[in-house]
Amino acid sequence: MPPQRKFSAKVLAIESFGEKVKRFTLLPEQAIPRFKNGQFLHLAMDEYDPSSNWPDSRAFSIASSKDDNTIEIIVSKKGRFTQRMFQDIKPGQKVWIRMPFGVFNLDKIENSAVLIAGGTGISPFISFLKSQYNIDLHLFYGVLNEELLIINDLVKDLNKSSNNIVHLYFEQSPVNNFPNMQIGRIDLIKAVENANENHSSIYISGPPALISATIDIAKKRGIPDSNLYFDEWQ
Amino acid sequence: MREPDKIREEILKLSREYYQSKFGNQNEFIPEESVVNYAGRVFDESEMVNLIDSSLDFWLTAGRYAEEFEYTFAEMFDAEEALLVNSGSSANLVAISSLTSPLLGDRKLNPGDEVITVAAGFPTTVAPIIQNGLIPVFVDISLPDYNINIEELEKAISDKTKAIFIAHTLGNPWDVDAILKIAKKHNLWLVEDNCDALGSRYNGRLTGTFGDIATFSFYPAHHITMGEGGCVVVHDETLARAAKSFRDWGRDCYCGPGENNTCGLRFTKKYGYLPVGYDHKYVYSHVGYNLKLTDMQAAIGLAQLKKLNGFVEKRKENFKYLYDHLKEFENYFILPEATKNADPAWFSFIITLKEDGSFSKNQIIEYLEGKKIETRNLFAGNITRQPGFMNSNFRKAGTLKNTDLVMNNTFFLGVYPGLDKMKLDFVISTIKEFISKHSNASTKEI
Repeated sequence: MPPQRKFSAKVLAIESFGEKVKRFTLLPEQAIPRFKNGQFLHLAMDEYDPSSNWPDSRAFSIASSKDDNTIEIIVSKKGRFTQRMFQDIKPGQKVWIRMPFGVFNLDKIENSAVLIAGGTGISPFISFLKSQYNIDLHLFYGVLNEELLIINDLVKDLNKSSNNIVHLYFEQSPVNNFPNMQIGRIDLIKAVENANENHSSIYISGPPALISATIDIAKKRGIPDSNLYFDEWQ
Repeated sequence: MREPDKIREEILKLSREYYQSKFGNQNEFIPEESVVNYAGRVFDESEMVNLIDSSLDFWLTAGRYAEEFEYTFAEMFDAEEALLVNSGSSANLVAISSLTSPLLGDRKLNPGDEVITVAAGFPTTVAPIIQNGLIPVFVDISLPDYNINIEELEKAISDKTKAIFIAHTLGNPWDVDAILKIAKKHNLWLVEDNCDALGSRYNGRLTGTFGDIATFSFYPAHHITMGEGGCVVVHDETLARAAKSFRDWGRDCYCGPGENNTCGLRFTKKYGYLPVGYDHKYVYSHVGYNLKLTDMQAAIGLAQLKKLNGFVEKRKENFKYLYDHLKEFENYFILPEATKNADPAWFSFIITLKEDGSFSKNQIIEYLEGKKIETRNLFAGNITRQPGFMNSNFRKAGTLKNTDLVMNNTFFLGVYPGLDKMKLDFVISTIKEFISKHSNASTKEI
């Protein structure tokens, strides 16, 4: 992975998606180090002093494009650290970033891919989805409800391209209509069969249960390990 | 300002004053009394300030300066990763060891596999090949570029050959086009030993950007220094992971010093025959080393790196000055020539005495050393004749005729940026003086 850097950034904007998900937009105080689509960063709220250890931090997928001059992350309120983020971080505040990390590398995708994302698991795909134009993509994206569809505009853009098909799954019926929309959980069998038909690699990001279920189905259908990539988190 | 910050500022101000007081005025050059070094550190207050600044962090191991150096270096070489190590020799060790990683699948090097190299070079280009149970295959060099003979290289390839590991000799790039073609044709790993060639270019592109891995040395004799130090530049994601692991004790985890659980999977996975959840920080996927360096070294290196372009230009200028003034002695000397399409950041000025000359190498270097002009051999000469290597398992591909010639008849002079015209003129006049004394000699003293 590319060399890591530590740097401070100013919080530019915070956008809420329901009560438990927020998008933080950060303006780094130096050039953003190069990273690969799919990689993640560590964010710390306390001051970093080079003469001591890196402060308490958490990992978040980089959800902005390589071409942006800001960094975006999608945060789901889960534990003590993210609760503190929701409560304490305000626009204008300084935070510390260490990046990039991770071997979930979407830059390897050459011709076609099936992407499977559950909830905020869409985050590592966003930078890739914003920048690709010539790859045949099937995105299987499942959310609890319409409010949590954090890439609504991006989904519209993707649907405009003939290369892409976005399969949207809502567990709760949405008010609006979306192309290829279904109610319920992601149809993993359909996703895997799609990959098999098109000889595509499968990239999965989401809760551990989603990842393990996809892997089980993929293995049963003879998809080799070398065609399965997953962004594994606790 | 906080009290520690004020004190730090005062210390750094004093360190600038100290530099000026201690090193600011260069000593006068007195011919035959002052030493004309072949190489040496060239620095100013910025190196000293960085060093002290880093020491005041007291982080000690690789820290913010190392991070900035690695980032800058990786960008410079458009590399997947740049990994600082404690020497150029360690860089070579990491490079070759990385090629043995199981991460590489069927392209990994196994004991008994052959690695093509040359015998006329530095021992630690060859040592890691042997240390990894691989077989060095020695190919002769060509003169006056002192790099591997391309025709012989192709002939040397066998079904056991898996890699080419060669130095850009004394800053002079090898024929990159030809060697890349051969490596591609035979599916060989290509490792550039760029230890003596930082800043050299081939077809306008920096050496160190062509192979799968490149190695660098920052010993004081080199283009930039950290005292002790080196770097491995890796152009492939999997190789980079292997290289980092070999550098960092062989561990699987990629957390830096003082970091924990960067990947978020520290206590969840199963590795080898270890129990599930065994702390990933202590999982070892390679039989590795600890070859990291300190942040103080990186701090010096970062200041030096900012001066690299100036250093390289000065080396080229000094090389040309010596070349232009020694050209009249081509009856006696084979003078160095840059490889076609190359723009070398010369490490030194290499001279080979013609075989039918009227004086020996020892005569001229003893004369020069007697006048306090430092000279050096092309390192190991012919490494197959060195006591530590002569009984090793290696293969000679063809004769090593030029390699032996270099061992017997070759020496080099400095071109480093610490040499000014006055010193170079003294070197030139001393050589002229020697030749005028020996040009009519009828016998050779050995």
